[in-house]
Amino acid sequence: MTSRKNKPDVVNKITGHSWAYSKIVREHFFKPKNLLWENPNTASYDGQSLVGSPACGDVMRVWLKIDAKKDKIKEFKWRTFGCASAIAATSMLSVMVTEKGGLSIKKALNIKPQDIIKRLGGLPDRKIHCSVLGDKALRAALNDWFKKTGQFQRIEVEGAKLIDPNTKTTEADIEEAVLEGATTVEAVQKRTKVGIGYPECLPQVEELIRFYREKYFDEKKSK
Amino acid sequence: MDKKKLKERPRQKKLRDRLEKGISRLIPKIVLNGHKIRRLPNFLNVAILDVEGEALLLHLDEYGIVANTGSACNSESLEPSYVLSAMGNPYEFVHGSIRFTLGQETTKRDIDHVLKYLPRIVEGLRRISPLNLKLDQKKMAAPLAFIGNQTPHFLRNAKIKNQKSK
Repeated sequence: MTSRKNKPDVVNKITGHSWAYSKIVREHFFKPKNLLWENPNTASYDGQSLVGSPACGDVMRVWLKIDAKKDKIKEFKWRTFGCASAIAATSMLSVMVTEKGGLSIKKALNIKPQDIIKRLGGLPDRKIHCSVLGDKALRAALNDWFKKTGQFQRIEVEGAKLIDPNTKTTEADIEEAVLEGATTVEAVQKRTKVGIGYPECLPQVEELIRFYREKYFDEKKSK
Repeated sequence: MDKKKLKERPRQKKLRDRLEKGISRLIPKIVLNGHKIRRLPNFLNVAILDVEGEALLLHLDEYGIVANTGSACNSESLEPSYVLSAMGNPYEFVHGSIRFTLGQETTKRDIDHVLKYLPRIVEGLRRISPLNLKLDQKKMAAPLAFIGNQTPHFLRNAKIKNQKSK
């Protein structure tokens, strides 16, 4: 029972995947930034969101304060139930949107999970999906603020678009399949049954796969 | 060897019971996984509500405590253990399940070491958790995945998964 400061990497014997977290991830996990400690006073925040599900193992709550004049995020407070990468990713995101006097909403909406992962010094492959939630929580909280302030044209809803009406496959299904490692049309089809009996949608599926691969795995240059 | 085993079993059971009693005394909202009496003497598997297993493990690791999430037959998977699910627990509980394994080298000091640090780790993680699950919950509260608010993939794709893992 001795404390081990320099831990060796943990590698899965079967797949060879590494489990080790970067130094930055460890720092944000053990000392998270911008946490909301006190009980939230709902009225004092401009935008709020709750995303994820306890059944899936990740839930995140975000509270935002927004400088309406400058269209900037002033404060980003959060609470997260989830693994180390989910906690570290939310913490890093909170730093990214509030550092240097706050990020403009336009720039904040452009933050991709990949940007968070880069700032964290990388995440193990199997943990990439855990970082996706922060970006979704931020969008949802901003949508909440847009709604409250009547800026309906700025609200963006993602994932709800139906791709294949026969199998009821949506964009979100494709996104999830890609996140789980299905990176070809065949693999996505095996999981979602998309396009079976409706092959007309397959070019669109292919495009979406490319989009989500670039979004989450940053493969633009290598492929 | 049998003689040694005969001595070892009650010794480990006693330590395990000490750990179990300590945890239930010091940490609110925990659920024992497994039968109260009819189970192996060297394991303790509990669900600690509102915290997630991996985060718990990493904090324990900082104090030199080795534990596991999931059930023993399912430790390399990221998905909630099907064994613990089959025992009738909702997925929310399974995500916060942790398993302590005792061995010949485990001492009373080790158990007390865990009892010293586990409660404060849990308290810390609960403070940053947005959840507040109910102990008497028997079913999944919100069977929605985080992407697109749909059924979790491990429920929807159970069939495909089984085929893949042969």
